Amino acid sequence: MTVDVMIVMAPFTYSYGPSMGPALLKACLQKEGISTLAYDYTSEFNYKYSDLPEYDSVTAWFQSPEIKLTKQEFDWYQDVIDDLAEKIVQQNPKILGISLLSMSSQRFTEDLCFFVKKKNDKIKIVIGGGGHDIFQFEHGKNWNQVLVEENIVDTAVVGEGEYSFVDVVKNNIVGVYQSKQLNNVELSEIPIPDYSDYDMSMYDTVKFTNTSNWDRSLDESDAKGKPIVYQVTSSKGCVKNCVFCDVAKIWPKFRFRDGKKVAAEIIHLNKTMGANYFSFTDSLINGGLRPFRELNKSLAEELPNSIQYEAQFIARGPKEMPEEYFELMSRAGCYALNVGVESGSDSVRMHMKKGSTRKDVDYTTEMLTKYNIRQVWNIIAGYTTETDDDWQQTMDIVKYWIPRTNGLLTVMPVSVFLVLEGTPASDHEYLDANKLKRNVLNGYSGIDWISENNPTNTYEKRAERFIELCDYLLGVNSRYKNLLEKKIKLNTKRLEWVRNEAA
Amino acid sequence: MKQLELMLKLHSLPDKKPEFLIYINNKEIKNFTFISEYADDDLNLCVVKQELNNIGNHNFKIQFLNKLDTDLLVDKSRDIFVDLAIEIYSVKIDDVDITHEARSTGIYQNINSLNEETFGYMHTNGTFTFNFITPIFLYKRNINLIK
Repeated sequence: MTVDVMIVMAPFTYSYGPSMGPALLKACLQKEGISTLAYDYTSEFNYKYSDLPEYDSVTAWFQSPEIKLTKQEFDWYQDVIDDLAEKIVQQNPKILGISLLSMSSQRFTEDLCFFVKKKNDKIKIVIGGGGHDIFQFEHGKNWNQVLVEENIVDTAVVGEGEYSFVDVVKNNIVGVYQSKQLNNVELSEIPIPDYSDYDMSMYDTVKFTNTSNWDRSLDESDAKGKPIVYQVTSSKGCVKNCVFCDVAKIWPKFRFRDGKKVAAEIIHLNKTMGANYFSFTDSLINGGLRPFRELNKSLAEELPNSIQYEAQFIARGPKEMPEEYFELMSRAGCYALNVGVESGSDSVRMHMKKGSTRKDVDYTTEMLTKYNIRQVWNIIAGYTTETDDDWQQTMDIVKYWIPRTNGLLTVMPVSVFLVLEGTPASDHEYLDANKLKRNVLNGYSGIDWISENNPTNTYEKRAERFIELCDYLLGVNSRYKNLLEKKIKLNTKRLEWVRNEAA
Repeated sequence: MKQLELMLKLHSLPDKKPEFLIYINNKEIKNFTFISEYADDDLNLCVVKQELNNIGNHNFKIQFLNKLDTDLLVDKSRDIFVDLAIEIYSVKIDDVDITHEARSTGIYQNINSLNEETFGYMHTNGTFTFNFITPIFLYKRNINLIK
């Protein structure tokens, strides 16, 4: 039997539960009478292979393409992809859809497309998601364009796929296809993801580490017996346009779903699948305060003390988010929030267009602690304008709050500041204004840069600050020792690579 | 379709030219065992063009057939001044040059089944084999990826 469409999620993403993308697209296509299979390859990849010695190197390469593999690691990886491609070809879909969450899925996608097309070039391949419309210096064009021109991909859907993927299938659209942004009404009407093809038993055993799903990541032994994490979307885009973030490129405008409908989706998944832990895919869950309040109100009333959720969050002041919001969040099941603090310096935060002030951060931290909600702060080391004094403010705010948050605060050093393609930091206006010069190393432009306005902020300095924070955190919290050590290791490897390439 | 353009430089003796076979994807494409097959120009270049599938594994092989021990002439200081040989001069897929990759990763095996590392210079009877994939950007990525 031939199926119309098969959709897979491409590694690499960290995963603690079923990936929403393929299941959501399946629901959208099936609604239009298009037979669809959906598989979560990224979780399968993590689940099946994370105990193997090759896994760490290959997934490090997925995330940092400058990393090299041994012949043995490369051969192992090629065999894995070949095997997956064979399974796809045996199912004989007319169309293979590959969903990429980020750039970290590009390497896998290139290879999967290669092996599938080599085995059966009649299968049309459509890629979509957030990780493909990205400029690559090496090719002088966007990555998706390269794949289309090289004929290993037929269609690249840029933007939201819930409706446009249906168009692509129905109307046989090829090439790079720019979908229009959904409005609030359309977004509210998207169906509930259909996970019926997923092997749910896979998610019972958690073996992976994760930086966004902090409670599980910090100590892998904590993960045992924890519920499966289901993803849910209540908004797309962001109310901010931080210079380090490419969300505005993917979703230029902030839109939100009806809070009651989002709550209804959560309730449905709870009743039908026993889902009781949810992770919001939103760039920030409190971008729209009205729908956020509606969501919490519905959950608190209709599903009291039944579920927990986690999300990304922006620190706001008491005028925008009075205390009653936090109390309602707590009753609705808000378990943990990822707060983009980024820096302890107001000057840095304002320059990066974060918007939040130190006062907002302090207020939010106090409220979250009061209502027993866990929080993770993202910290970036070595922002363009960051001085020694700015960095000291970051260390100070971390050192101030860690002992005052009842163990609910986790500080996560994200990385050194990278000038990533697709973010406002890579725009000419930003580069010119900051006299920022990029040293393109082996095709990668975001790593080794220098601003003539702040010339002491070298890659070495940024790496030094990053490690200073990691070292401090290692000293005060052993719960996520493994993760911090991995981060230090990766940072050290990258520093060596920069030194070698620059030489 | 992609086009492979393989250019060989032929090092001839005054009265003898290299004789060789070219295989692409394991099929014999050219048989240069007859003098008349040569494109005669100043550079003694032999050019072969072949269409390839957009996606897949490929190879080309050059089998050098007629070298004798006497086909290497040296002067009094033992410097070579005439040598019957074939040199991988250039390899392109469409407009992407992969000469360096072909010379450095191609395997040149002599008739005693020993591999010789001569960076694409075939100085003795044997077979030079180069394996690659298309799209070529993936081939280049893989070459740079392995330690």
